[in-house]
Amino acid sequence: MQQGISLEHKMKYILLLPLAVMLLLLITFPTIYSWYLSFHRAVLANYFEMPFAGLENYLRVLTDSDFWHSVWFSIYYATIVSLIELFLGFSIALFFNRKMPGKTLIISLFLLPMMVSPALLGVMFRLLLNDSVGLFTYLLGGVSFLTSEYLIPVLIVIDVLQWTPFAFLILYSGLQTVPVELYEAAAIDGASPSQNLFYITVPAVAPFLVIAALLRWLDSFKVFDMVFVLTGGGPGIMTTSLSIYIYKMAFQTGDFGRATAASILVLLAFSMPLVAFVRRARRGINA
Amino acid sequence: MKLARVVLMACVVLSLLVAVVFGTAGATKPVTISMVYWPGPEAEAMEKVVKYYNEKISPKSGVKVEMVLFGREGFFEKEATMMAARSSDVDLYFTCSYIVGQHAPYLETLNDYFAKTKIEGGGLENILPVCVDAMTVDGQVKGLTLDASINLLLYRKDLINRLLTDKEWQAKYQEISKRELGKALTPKQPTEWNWDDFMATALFLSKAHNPDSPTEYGTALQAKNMWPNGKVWSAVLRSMGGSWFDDKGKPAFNSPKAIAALKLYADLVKKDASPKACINYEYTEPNEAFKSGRVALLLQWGVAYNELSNKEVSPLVWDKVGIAPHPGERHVVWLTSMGVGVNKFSKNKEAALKWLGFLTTTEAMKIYGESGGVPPVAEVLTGLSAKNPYFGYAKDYLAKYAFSEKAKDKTVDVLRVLAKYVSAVSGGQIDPETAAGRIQKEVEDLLK
Repeated sequence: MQQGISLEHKMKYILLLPLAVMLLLLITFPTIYSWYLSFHRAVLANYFEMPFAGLENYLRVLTDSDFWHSVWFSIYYATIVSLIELFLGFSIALFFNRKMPGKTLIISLFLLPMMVSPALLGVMFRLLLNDSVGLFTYLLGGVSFLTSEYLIPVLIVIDVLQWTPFAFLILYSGLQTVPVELYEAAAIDGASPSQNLFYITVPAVAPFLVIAALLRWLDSFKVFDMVFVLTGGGPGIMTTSLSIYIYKMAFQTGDFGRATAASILVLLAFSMPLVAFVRRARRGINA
Repeated sequence: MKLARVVLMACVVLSLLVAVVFGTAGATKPVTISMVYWPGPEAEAMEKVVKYYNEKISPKSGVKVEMVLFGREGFFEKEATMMAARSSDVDLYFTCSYIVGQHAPYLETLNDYFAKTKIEGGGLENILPVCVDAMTVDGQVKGLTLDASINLLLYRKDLINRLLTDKEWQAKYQEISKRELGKALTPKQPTEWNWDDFMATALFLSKAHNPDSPTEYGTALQAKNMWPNGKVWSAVLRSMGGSWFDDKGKPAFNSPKAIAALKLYADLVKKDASPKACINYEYTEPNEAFKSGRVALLLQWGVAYNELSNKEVSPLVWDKVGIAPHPGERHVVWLTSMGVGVNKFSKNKEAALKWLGFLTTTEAMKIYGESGGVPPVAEVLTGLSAKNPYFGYAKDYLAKYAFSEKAKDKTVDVLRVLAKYVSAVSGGQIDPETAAGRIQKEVEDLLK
C-alpha cells in the first residue's frame, strides 16, 4: 500500500518533469539572462566581452525622457482603448443576450476582426487611409487622417475595431451565467430595466468585467505591431509605446543592456499591482 | 578458351572496380556556401547571378551558392541575432554602408584576399571607389558593394519645362517666391537649383499658393519616424554645406546649416507644399503621390525612377520623369551601398571568398544589372545605359556627387535620432532650433 503511494508520488514529479524543463528553458533562463544583460554594457559590437555596467543601464533608462513618454503613451492608450472596448463589448453583449434569428452567424462575423494579425491590420489601414490612393480618404472627400492631430484617435479606433469582439466574448459568456430567476424576481418587485442592469446584471458579471479589463489593458499596454507599421512611433515620439521603445533600443540601436533594463523596470513596476489585481479577480470569481 | 574467357571477365571486373574507385576519388564534391540576401528586387537580380554561377562556374571553382532570404521586416535584427550567436550556419551576411560598422566585428577583412588574388575581369579595383569606401571600416574593407542605391531629386519634366517657357507661370512664380521667400526668383533647370529654387518651385506647384497648379502639392517629404528617412535629410544637410561632424570629428548638428535643413522640412509642411500626412511617409507613399499626379518633386531613391517611368505602372507620368542630384550649395546624392561580407565564423571562408571574387567581375555585374540591380561597376553602367537611362545618371552621379555619412558602429543610431526629430519637426511638434539642440545632445551621448 505504502509502496503504491510512493510510486504515485514519484509519478507526479515524473509527469511534471517535461513541463518543468520547458518552463526552465523558455521562461526561467531568458528571464535570468535578461537580468544579467541589464547589468552589462551589452551591445552587438561587444556581445561576447561585455563589460559590467552596474546600474548604469537602469539610470540611463530612468533619466531618458523618451522612456517616460513611452510609459505615459502606453498607459494613456491602454486605458482609453480598454474603457471603450469594455463599454462597447458590454453593450453589444447585452444586445445579443436574448433570442434572435441569425444570432450565431452575426456573432461569428462579429468575431472576425480578432483573427486578423495586428501588423496586417496596420498595413491595411495604411493603405485605406493613404492620402493619394486610400479608399477611406476618397470616400471621406480627400480628408487625410494620418496627420498629427488625428493619429492617436485613428490608432484607438483601429484597436477598438479589432478587440471589442474579445471584450464582447468574455462579457457575453458572463451574461450567460446570470440566473434568469433573478430577473423574474425583480420583475415581480417592479424593477425597471435600468435597475435590472445596475443591481443585477453589472454585479453578476463584475468578475468577468475585471478579467476583460485586465486582459485588454495588459494587451493594449504592450501594443506594438499595428502602431509600428502605421506610424513607426512618430511623428517624433508621439505614438511610441513602451514595446516600440524597447524594440528600437534593442534592435535598431543594438543596446540590449538598456533594452532589457527597460523591460525589467516595467516588469517590476507592474508585478505588485498585477498580483493584487489578479487576487481580487480570483476572489470575485470564487465568490 | 575457357581460361581466356575467365581472364577477360576478370579484366572487365577489375577495370570496372578501378573506374569506380578512382572515378569517385577524382570527383571532388563542390562546397555549398549560403549567402543571406535582402529580399526584393535586389535579391531577384542576384538570383540570376547565382544561377549563372552554379551552372557555368561551379564545375571549375568547386563552389556552389545558395541564397537565404530572410523576411524584409526585421531583417537586420535576424542577422544581428545570428552574429551575436557566432553562428556558422551562413557563410555570407548581407550588409550595407550604414550598418557595416555594426557588422564589422563579425565580418572578415577583404583587403588581403583581393590584394593577393588576381581575378580575371574583376577585383576590388573594378568596383567604383566610392562604393569600396562605403564598405570600409577603419581602413579595412568589410563588405563588397553589389548594389549602389542613391537618393536624388525626381521631378515632373513637363511642369518644369513649362515653367521655364511660360511667361504667365514665371510671373506667378516670381510673385510667390517674393512673397514667401522674400526674393523674386527666376525659374532654372533643376540641375542648377539651390534650396530656395526648390522651395519656390514646390510652393508654386502647390494649390495652397497657386490654385492653378496642376499638382496639389509641390513635393511629398518622407518624414516618418523610421531611421532610413534620416538618410534623406542628411543629404539635404550635406547639400546645404553641413555635415554630421565638424573638422575635429565632433557632432555638428546644433549648427545654422542643420537648423536650416530642419527648417526646410518644417516650412514645406507648414506652408502646405508637402502633404501633412508625410509624417507617415516612407519610400512608397511619395511614389504613389507622384504617380497619381498629386506632387511634382520628390527627394527619392534612384530605383524609383524605373517604377515611375514605367508606362504600365505609372500611366499618368511615365514619360514626364526628370532626374537631378539634390539641390543646394553643393549638389549631392546620398549613397547606400548594399552588398555582402564573409562571416568570420564561417567554415567555408575560402569558398565564400572565391564567390566574392567572381562577384567583382564585369561578367557577374552585367548579369546583375540586366536583371534589375544597380551594379557599382562603371563599365557595366555605361554599357547598359542605352537600355536603362537611369544607369547613365547613376554612373555620373556616383562619380561626381555620391557621399555617405558614417559614425562607426553607431550610424544607424544617429540616423534613428535624426529620423525622430525630422519627423517631429515636420509634424510641428518641435521647432527646428530646439530639435537641432536635442539632436546634438543625443548624438553626443550616443558617441560617448
